[in-house]
Amino acid sequence: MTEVVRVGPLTRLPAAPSFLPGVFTHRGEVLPVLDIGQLVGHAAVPIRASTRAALVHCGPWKVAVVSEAVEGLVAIPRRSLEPPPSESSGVAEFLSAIGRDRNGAIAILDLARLVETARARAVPSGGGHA
Amino acid sequence: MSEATEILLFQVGPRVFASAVFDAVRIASVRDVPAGELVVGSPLGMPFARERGIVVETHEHGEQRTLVVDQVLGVRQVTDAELHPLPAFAAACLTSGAVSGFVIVDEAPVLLVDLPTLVREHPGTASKRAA
Repeated sequence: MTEVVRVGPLTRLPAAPSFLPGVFTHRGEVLPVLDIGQLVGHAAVPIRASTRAALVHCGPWKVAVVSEAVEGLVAIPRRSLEPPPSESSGVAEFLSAIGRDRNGAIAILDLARLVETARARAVPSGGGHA
Repeated sequence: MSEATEILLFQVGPRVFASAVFDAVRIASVRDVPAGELVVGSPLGMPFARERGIVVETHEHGEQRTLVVDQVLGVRQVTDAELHPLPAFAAACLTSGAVSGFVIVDEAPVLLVDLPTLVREHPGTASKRAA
């Protein structure tokens, strides 16, 4: 993850999957938006002036993962990380670990798996126009 | 110095799109085009009205089809710096090859549409016409 940015006005893509609600420009670059909620069958994150996205590099892909709120940055010692639950549905499918801070458990996403799964679900045959 | 490219801006439903000017053979009144050659519904959306069309060469046996749009907004010159490819992740998630990138118009990305690919992929009600 490189930075958290404000999401500008979205340009929607025709015939795009629901988890790809559109693109926006940030510092002259056109960035695709990934809505994890839609990917795991939850409600869409509403895009408002206050909406933020985390810019993520995963291999060849650069995406803006949209979120309802950014609560801050926490440091969790690697040795204290716990394995994710064994469920394979919903967001649990995309967890790499569970961390803890003074407020409780924090689910840590495996962003590389999440982005690759999104791409694979969009074009199951491995096609696409990259 | 950046090269200038001419783009055609048009509206389908509530959204504005762009295409390379040379993709459009001519702008037509839909009333002058046989119904079988009209492309009414496409991934760009459904036009509110059915009065204006962009005649496009499909590059298949000399066929032409007419994409029905709401408005042709005009031609604009843009520099290469204002043209952007489709982001790799978005390109990998789209099943259509008709979106070729974006052009920045008034600081917002406007979809750049490959019209020949669009009308080939979504022939609508078009029927074949001899070359």
